[in-house]
Amino acid sequence: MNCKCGRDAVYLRVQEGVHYCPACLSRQTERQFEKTISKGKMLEKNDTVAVGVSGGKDSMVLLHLMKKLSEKLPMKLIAVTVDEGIAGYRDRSIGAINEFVKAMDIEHQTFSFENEFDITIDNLVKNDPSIKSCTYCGVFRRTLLNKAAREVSATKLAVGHNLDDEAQSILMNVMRGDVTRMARLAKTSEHFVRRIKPMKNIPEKEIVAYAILNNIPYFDGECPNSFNNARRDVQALLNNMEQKYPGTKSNVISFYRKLPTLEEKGIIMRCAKCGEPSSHETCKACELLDKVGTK
Amino acid sequence: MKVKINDNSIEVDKDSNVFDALKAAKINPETVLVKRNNKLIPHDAALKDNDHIQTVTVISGG
Repeated sequence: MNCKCGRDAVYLRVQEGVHYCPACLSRQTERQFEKTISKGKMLEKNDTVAVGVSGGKDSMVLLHLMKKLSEKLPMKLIAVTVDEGIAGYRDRSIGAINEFVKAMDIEHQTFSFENEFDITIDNLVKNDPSIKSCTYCGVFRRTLLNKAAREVSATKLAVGHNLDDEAQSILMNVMRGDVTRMARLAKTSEHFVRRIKPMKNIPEKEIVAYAILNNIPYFDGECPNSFNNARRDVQALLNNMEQKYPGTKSNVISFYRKLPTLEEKGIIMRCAKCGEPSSHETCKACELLDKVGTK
Repeated sequence: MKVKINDNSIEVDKDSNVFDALKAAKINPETVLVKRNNKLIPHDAALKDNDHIQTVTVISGG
């Protein structure tokens, strides 16, 4: 099996039946990354970009690609990590991040649920083992990432969502009948630091291949609380469909992007309790904090 | 012929490729990359008797 350049292939893109060698696959990934940024007008010269880094393969590859791009497009990069308070998981991934940012000479700041919300995910689960911790974790993480980006004076917040994540989000919104959230996927509010997803057109599999081929370290541990998570089911469903019908994930995204622009009902205002952006009088993070009896 | 995937030995037909071996081991090819001799190989790479391949999980665990 040879790449079109004649070298030995290491990867087959099933949908198109095209083989790639390490150099061509890496180049293709970098091109897709830059094309997405340029098409979405995601970055400008001298931006300060907060890069959300969890230590997993997506965010470590994102940080590597952003650093590489900063050699062509001058910008300031600050890696920001959210520590949810999950012992044996996040503390280990933070170890991997510390080494990586040091080697790449990138500033790094960590923001914890404990300092910000006076909770840890471990304590939430300990107090109520039936709690849907992924909901709490997702809401608090989104709120804290936005806050972190503001605190480091970032003009953009880059996150490592890949093509698979995008397809899953679209399908989950369809399954929930949540048109408002679907509309929000494509929009940005002035109350938030602009969130950019430069890897949203790169399949998860190619991100892992890129990490391996470019010796990018990442933490591949599994969150101990993620077993009861709707996204997991949608992920499995999409992977099964992709195996049987190659191109399914891209088609889900393509379908969504072809829809007429969805109008988001309601306006984004400030939460009456914490002042963070919210589509209701009280934001989701404060609503959940009330539920678990803190602050 | 006999092929080893990670720590499991499986029987596959002669002229099988990585796809066939993954299918026999009930692993969805969408969820893994595959290495032989510590180097990535495409899913349609042919396998030989007594080949040993390792899978690299692709899906996020977060």
